[in-house]
Amino acid sequence: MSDEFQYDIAAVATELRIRPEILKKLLESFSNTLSEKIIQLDMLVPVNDTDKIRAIMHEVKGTGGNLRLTKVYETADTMHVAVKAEEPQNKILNLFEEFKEASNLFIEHIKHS
Amino acid sequence: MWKILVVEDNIENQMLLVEILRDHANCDTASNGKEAIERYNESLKEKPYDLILLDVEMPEIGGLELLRRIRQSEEAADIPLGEGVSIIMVTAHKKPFLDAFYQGCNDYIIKPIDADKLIQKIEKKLGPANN
Repeated sequence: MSDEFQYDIAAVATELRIRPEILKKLLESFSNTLSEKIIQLDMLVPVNDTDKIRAIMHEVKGTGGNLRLTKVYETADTMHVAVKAEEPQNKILNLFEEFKEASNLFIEHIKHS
Repeated sequence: MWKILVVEDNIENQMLLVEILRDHANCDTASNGKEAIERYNESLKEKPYDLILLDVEMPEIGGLELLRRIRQSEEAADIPLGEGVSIIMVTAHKKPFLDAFYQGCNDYIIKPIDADKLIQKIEKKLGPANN
């Protein structure tokens, strides 16, 4: 996975028909939400609490996709599908690591922007 | 301007929808089913909503249940079938869900939201917004 976070606020704002300053606020808000969700998932994934994991991944996937955070969306979607299909625990753990990596790149980018 | 109720428990998605519609609609928001029913009932006393954008997956009262309750309430108020408020379901599920149509939803849009498509779908139901 690339270790660079790439995102064009102006292009996404145009695509979404929203003001760039509002998109920036939405990204900051989602960055905080995502940090909280990762803390929750860090507790839920090892004990395989599938209902709660599925609900969180569904929400994150929806918002990540809406904000055009491609890697966050894709890794959340893959993990969501795997949890729904009751894939083995070791696979879910690996997918969770990929999701965290994608999310942390975004979170760090927001922190430093 | 259209009068729209945005029902969405996720704050970022809620803000995004309101922002996309800012030049077209006066939006009220509700973060859960209970709030949505309150707003909907209040609106009936003044100016009813032209349309409700309804998230499917919400805690406690989910979108489908809320849809059912709104249609039941219209039936109780003798609003003829098909003349109630237009409801567009917003979902991250990839497949269309027939249950929502059986319960009386008018259309649906899949997340990630496509702003142009969303506005087109609303225009199809309500006609152009008079700004």
